[in-house]
Amino acid sequence: MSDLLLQGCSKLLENGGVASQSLPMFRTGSGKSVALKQSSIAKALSVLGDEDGDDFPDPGQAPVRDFRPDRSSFLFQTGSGKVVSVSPTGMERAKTLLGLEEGTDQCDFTGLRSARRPPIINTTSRCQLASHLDREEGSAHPDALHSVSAPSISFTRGTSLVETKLKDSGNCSDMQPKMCDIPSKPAPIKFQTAGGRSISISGDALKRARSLLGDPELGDFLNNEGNFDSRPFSFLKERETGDDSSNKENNPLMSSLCQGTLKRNHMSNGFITPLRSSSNKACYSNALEKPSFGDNLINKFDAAACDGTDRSNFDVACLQKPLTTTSHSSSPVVGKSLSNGVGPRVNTHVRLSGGSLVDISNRIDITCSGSGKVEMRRLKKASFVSPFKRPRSSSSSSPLKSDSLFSSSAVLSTSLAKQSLHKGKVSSRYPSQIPRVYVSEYFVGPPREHNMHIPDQLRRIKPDNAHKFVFTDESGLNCIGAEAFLHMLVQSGASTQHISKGWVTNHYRWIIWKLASYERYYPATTGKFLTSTNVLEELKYRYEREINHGHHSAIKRILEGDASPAAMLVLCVSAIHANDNLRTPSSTTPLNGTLNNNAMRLELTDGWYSVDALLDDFLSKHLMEKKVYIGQKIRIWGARLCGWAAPVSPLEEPRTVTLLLHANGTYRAHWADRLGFCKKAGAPLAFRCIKSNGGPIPMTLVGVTRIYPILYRERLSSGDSIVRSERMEMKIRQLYNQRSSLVIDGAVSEFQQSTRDFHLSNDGNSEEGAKISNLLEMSAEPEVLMAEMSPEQLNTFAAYRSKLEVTRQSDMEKSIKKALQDAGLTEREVTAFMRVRVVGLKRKTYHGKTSQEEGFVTIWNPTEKQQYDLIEGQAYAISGLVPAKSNSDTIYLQARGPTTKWQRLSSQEVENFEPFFSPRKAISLLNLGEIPLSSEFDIAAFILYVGEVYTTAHQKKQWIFVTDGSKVEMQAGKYDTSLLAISFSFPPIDDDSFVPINYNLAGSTVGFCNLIKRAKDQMNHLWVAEATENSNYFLSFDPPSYCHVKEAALSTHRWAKVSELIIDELKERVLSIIGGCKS
Amino acid sequence: MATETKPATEEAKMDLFEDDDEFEEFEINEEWEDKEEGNDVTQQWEDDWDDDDVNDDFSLQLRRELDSNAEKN
Repeated sequence: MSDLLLQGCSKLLENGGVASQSLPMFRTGSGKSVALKQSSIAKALSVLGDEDGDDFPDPGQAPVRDFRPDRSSFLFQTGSGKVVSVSPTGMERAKTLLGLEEGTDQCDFTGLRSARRPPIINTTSRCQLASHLDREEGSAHPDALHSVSAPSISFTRGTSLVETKLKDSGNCSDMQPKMCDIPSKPAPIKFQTAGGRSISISGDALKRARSLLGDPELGDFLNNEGNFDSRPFSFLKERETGDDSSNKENNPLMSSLCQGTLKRNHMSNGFITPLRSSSNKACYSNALEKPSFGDNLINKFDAAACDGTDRSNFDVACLQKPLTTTSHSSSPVVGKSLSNGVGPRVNTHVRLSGGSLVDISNRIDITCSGSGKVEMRRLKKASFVSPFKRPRSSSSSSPLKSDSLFSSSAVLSTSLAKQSLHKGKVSSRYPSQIPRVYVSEYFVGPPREHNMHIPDQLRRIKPDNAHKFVFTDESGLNCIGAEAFLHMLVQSGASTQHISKGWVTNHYRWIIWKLASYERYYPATTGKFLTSTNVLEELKYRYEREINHGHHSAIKRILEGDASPAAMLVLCVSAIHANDNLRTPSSTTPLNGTLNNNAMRLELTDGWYSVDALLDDFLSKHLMEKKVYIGQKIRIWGARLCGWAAPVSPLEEPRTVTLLLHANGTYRAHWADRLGFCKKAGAPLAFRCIKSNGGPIPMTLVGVTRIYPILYRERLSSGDSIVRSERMEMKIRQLYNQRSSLVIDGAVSEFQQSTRDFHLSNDGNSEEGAKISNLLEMSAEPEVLMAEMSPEQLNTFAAYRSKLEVTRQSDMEKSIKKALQDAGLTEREVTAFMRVRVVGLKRKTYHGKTSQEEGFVTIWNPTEKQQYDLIEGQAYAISGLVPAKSNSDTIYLQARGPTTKWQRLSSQEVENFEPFFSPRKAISLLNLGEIPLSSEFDIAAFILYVGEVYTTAHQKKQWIFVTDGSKVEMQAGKYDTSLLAISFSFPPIDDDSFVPINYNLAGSTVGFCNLIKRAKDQMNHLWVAEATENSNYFLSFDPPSYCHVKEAALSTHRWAKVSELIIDELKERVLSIIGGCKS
Repeated sequence: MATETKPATEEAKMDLFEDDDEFEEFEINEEWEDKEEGNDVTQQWEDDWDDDDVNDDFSLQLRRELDSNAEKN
């Protein structure tokens, strides 16, 4: 039984005439064997356009002549079979257009011919055939070889490399001319789009396209070429799946020829296009198996490629040929590296040379059959990316295997063109198949300096030079560094579509540093961790995670805009930019002072990438004190990015993005903390550690000791601002509204008066509408008149009325606004805020130093929830506080109602801390002496006298005199009732009618909160207190926040009821004090 | 800079333990309002940068090492 796939299509073709004797078989892409009848083959051939009725194309037939290069003229056969002569001038012009050099005619011409091969020629048959031919060198099909041997000469001229190759494997060279019989059949020109769609292009369309390109002559040239090649192109294009076995039968020899030419391109030119790179992988895998780095390397590669089963590399190779010069050096050095523009550039040339037969598909269809299934399996998984999505940079790769790491380094740069696009599994270590302990458990203790000798080279490895580290073999002659690992990575299945030299160098740097650090600090690991195998495994792991799983490290996510830099993450200091830092005068500033504009720069890494960071003054100071050093891990929280406008690659150079670190969001981390984002909420910063100029505080714990009444700050048009209590704000608002209403009423009334006869007369429609309106107004019976109106008139009238109304409304609003402005009643700009007194929570187990434990938090625009939820005596985790200022024992912090989160701690949590709360209680005047000066106290008292408001330089003031009936012994046996004078002050701007304490309150029992104790008036035996913005008074004692004075209030009230005489005496006393003061 | 290649006779380092750079893939939740996390809240970061006595042995050692390296170079 004959197997077509194994025999090669050529055999079938050759035996076409006698095939009936033994039915040939072929194997489909899925591996099924199918028997072919001779009649079926004949039918297939007729379908495929073999008009001559020849059983099979004869490789040695006349069309070859059409191709023979001639110095004086060139002959082409068009797609329709027409022979076209091209003048030398035309050729010259074409060459110029194609950028070909003088003296390369033959080769170029051959190149052009090769280029005419459709880019997506059925890839299934190619290598199969090639391998078959190679195997059966010179013996399998003597007839066929014979028949084509003569014309082959003309094609190999000037292509020494190919020649060599072809001579080496005679079949291949003999096959070459067979391509000549391919283009003899006309067919529509088709190409495959990126989406895989086949598109047919008519000759007219082509012409139009050419005329758009502005070179009709070129157009002709292209046209000929296009037609010339159209047939194979057309039928091959339609085999998207690539396993249509009929394809394999049609142009076997052409395939092998093209492969031959492809090899040369690979060697002489560093180009690789996205289309081919994936497929080349398989071929070069073979090459890698048996590396040979002599001069004949290319031949070896060719041979390997022929043996391989990947046939898709043909496509681009053929396309590339016109681009190559005839440099046939066998040097393996790839001079032209992959540049971003390679793909499009190749395509451009292909279009020019191949007459629009450009494959722009991003798919390469590959079937798996015959030998080399391993490679094909890998390829099948591949995801092919459009050439328009090339990576920014690629670099040369080496066909080295890991077991031959130290083979000739000269070969490292040869396999640029042999990279794979596929995205198969590269590392089996993710996800980890075996349970592993975390690094801290494995090493048990922290890294320690040990007494064992550390080789100098190991000691010298630092983050800034780790990427230059190289492994050397025993002989010391061969060494491998980052670049070699790129090749190894590619060989392991990584794709240069996704990684670049920069990528590998970067990761190599961090891996080397890490492994070297282990060896330095854990003697047991010395000599075991820093090995090329480990490095490669780590690189593969990283490729697997980042490329195949799409897992991005913290810094990459942040720089690419996928994560907030404010999230908590652990990073490691990898460099301190000493040079930059030294340029600033900070290095000479005293350590104890605050540094200004001397921010220090350093580099932080998450183990995968790094980012530059700028330290605030505090942290800069710590850096200078060597509290920040290379190798230290820090936990950052609430950081910001500077210079970040759009997603940026962590590998981008120069670096423009900087992470801004501040003391309140930057903490030292444990040596074994996992790098990257923190999964759990981080520990809040202890309140006492907050620096007033250390930036936002991501989270801190506080106990709320006092909540002060809500206040309102009005920003005045003069730029000043004024703070009012809620009571005063209500009054002001009421007054404002009243005055506004009056002004608005007046303005509206005035407007209505002045616009009684308001009309619009701007345009024709309005005039018409105005006329109708007037008529209706004048009419005694407007309904009748309206009933007689035409729809147009009614519409005009309605439009007029509507427009009139809008205009009136607008005018009225304007006059109201003006009236309000005239009355000084512009819109008020009022912001509510409340103050909360807090203390830091101290763990019961903490015995360290204590400092700054108290703070005032101002909550701007507190939410209703906050107003209700905040309770004195409760502990909260607050996130988003910003320090404002501080003095020796109090820090002032700002919070924004909507953005600052107050999370109440459970009572269970609070138990971990020292008690912090002293509940409010009503103070009796009897005990007021126990309260320190300037301290706050609450009291319930009977108001004896409400003083008059008077004005001082900056504010208005009012005194009130109260008592709670408590008696104090003045002299032996003589008791006196205690008196308290409370001063109220308020801004002078407000209306005179405002008084903080209404005169009517005299004779009432009132509760006071948050009064400040002042020095006692000893002369008058008078307690003195001051009511501040935070103070409050109330007559109802039922609300929870006031109930603590309820009992005292009741007691005072009872005393007052039965103490009229005493009260009268006290009033007299107050008046005398006031009189004394006045006099 | 070069060092001799060590034969990889032992188990691959990656199979021995989990490194600190093997980050976990998870959704970042900056709110942490989950009550489950509540107990962690009570742990405060009390390592004030100004405190010198909080440095663990390793930090001090590493600093010494870096200093000595700097001197050598």
